Amino acid sequence: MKNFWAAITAALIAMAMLAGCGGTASQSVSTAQSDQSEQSSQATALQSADPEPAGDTAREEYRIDVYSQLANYAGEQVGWFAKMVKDKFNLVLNIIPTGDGVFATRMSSGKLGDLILFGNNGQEFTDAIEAGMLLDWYEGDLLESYGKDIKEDLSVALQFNADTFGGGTKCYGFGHNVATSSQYSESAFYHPDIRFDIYQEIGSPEIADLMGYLDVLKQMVDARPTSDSGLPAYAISLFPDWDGDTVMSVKCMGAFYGYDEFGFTLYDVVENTAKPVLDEDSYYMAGLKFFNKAFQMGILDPDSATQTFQDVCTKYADGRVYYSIFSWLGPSNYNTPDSLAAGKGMFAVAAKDQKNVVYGTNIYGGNRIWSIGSRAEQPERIMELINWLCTPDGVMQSTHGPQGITWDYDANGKAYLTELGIATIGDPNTAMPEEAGGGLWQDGQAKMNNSTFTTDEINPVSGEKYNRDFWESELKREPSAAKVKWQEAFSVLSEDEYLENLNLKVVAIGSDFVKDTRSADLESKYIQVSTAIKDGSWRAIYASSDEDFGKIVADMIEQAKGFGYDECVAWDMEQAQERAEAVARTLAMNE
Amino acid sequence: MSGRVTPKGKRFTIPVKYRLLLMLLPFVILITLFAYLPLAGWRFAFFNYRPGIPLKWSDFVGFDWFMTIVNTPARQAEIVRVVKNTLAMSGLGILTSWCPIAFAVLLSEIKNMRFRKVVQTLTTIPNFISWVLVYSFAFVLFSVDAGLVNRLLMDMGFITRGINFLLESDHIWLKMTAWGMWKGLGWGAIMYLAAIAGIDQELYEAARVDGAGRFRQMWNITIPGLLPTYFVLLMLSIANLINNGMDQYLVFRNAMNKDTIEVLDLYVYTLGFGSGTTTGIPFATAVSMLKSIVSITLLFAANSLSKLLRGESII
Repeated sequence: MKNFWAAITAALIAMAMLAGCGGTASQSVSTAQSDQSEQSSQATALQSADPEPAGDTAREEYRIDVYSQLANYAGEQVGWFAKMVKDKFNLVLNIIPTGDGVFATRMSSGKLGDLILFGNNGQEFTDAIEAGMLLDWYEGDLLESYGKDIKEDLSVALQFNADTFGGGTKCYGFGHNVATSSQYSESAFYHPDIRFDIYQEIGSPEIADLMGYLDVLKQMVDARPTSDSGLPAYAISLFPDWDGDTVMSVKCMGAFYGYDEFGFTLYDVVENTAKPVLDEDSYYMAGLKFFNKAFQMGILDPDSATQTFQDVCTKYADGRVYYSIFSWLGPSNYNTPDSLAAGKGMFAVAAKDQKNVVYGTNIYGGNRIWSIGSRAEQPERIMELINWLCTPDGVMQSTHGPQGITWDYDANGKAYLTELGIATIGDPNTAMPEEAGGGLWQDGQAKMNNSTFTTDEINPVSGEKYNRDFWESELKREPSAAKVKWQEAFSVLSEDEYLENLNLKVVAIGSDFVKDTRSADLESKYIQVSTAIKDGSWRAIYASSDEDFGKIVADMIEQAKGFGYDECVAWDMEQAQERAEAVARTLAMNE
Repeated sequence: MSGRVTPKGKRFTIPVKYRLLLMLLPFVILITLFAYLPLAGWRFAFFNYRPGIPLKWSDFVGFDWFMTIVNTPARQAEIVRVVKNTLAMSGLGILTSWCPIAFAVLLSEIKNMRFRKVVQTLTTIPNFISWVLVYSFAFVLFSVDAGLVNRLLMDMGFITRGINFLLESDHIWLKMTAWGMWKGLGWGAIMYLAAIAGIDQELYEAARVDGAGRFRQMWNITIPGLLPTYFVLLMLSIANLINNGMDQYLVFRNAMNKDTIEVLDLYVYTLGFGSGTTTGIPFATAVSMLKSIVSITLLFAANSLSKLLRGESII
């Protein structure tokens, strides 16, 4: 009997190891866990060794549940940000991400969390208010005593929340990326980046339109069929984790041509009208065709429908993918100091006819809400934390790391990155010094993953934007060999300048528009239509021929219509009308 | 210290009828807790329920959610599709339920005890691996670039580019049954091995004396000896036809194979929790109530079959 169990245990362990070796995902999870335990032990060691505890350790430690629908991480915050929050407020952040059924379960349990970050201001946010899960910030002296900076600098965003959700008298928080003016635009993240070195290698052919990319990408893959480590390379690699109402990567093709995602429609940010996604001439359909053509040509990663965001990041880092939709996806994973020094890198190259959507700044804030749970034991301490995150010090430190270690102000009061700071940008796995919390840079980043002020806001301390790309010190820094090639090819210095000078962008004006909540009946139709569209879209992407593609798309449309697509679109069109009116209000205000 | 004593000096005893009732009580409590109490959840199907918000604040909508199934042909088609998948995959499971018998019989014929134990251990282990791990194992085998199968095919020159096997939507029912068998074969054989051990050895000796070979003995002694056990298990699995779980299908599901892999349990889960929305619970509850209808229909069907074949009713 003993032998039997021993054999079973041994075999199970062997099995688990086998699974762990192959799946990069499970591997990274286990390393993350070991990092975490390592770091927390380091953190405790550090704490006890610290002769004079800085800041607020006089107060007892307060462990708060941060339910963040934006987090890509579960567990206690570790590393430099954990140390910062611990030293300043004696807070420990327990991050709880969302997933299937998490919101429903937490709502039913009666406590959503202490600090709650909503992914959008839709049904879940209003349900939480209705169920009494959220604290009214206007009640008592919470804002006066503990949220002075919020009260002073974010009053417009607060009152907007109160007017929209609290009948004008109760405020349940504020949205992300708040700006003090709606007249400028945020820096661009929707633009195609491609492996510029390979593109030059094949002679920098002109790209006239979306479909024009395919031939160029094919030539690039033919020229360099394998990655840096010798694995097969693809032009395009997609992932389904972030699909919302429709398939995320497909709707982004709309964002390359001036259309913002808007339910089952794409919102034309110039004309302020909406276009249903399943219309034959919509950019959603164009996107489907684009990816399917890529698949038929053999340059789309066959893993696309089954892999995760993390898998894709790993592929970009190894140089296995030549095309990226977001500036922070491909380039930030591939453009390490080593690749750049070797003359390799991903940079923006848009088709001639593109009009990439750039978001205008918004004084009312976006739709990712900061809120406090009504059953938090010490709401004032959570308010203090949010308040700090709204100060220049908080924005700078939570974004760029501990002051004096990864960045600092120079003699003229301008911000600059230290050697370590520069290293962390090139390689997010750079180790942080012990006095800053230790561990790796990226493990220590704020995992709650929400912003207060937009980083395109001016930092009153330095007079420059919070966004380091616009710091004088950064602009002066000598660019890498790879970047110089790109800069020379287009005679521009930055990506924003590229879009601006070559007339490749349109601005989506920020406004006070908030979508209405849908009735229960409409919502259930919406869910099923959305599932039909997403599944149909993925099948269409993998269609083996144009004929097959046409058939799958026709089936998808028929099924979506059967579930009530037309009714959903009619509702979206009404909402689009309201958005257009809100945009008109902002434009009138700006004049 | 003597036991509790009544004033008359007689030992206190509970009357037999109450004693039996007390013995029954734990089971009544269990059944109430796990079989009847959850039925209270059915009330969500009659409201526009959203979690966290008390039911009394929610709108009462009567049979609206049921009517949407009747009124929307697309929804009917969906439900027919998932019920078909459920019954097909459960049916295939039942059709292959003789495999553990064959396996147990053959296993018991192995004379080398050491080898027999090794085989039995190796085939039993998969039962203890969760479906999530089974999927990661499948992923290691079949993933496009690093997968064992793709590597092998590429090295041998059959293909030049990797194939995403897990995305293929052909023969999903058979593939899922095969995975289920791989996982459950050894475990399913345990009961039969025990039954084989219980067969009277004298029968074999008598058969050998009569000149029966190994296959004769298997066919005429072992198999008939196992049939009663088999029929009990078969009855149980027919009753569970509609409950074929969802974790296996949840992990293997993707956009390509969804049409044929989605079973009723998985469909209800996706409607209620899957899409990141919480307003789906009432409709999901309404659909899941269908399951009870199917189960009751099955029960009556089995009952009339039993009447027809054996002349006695099981209800």
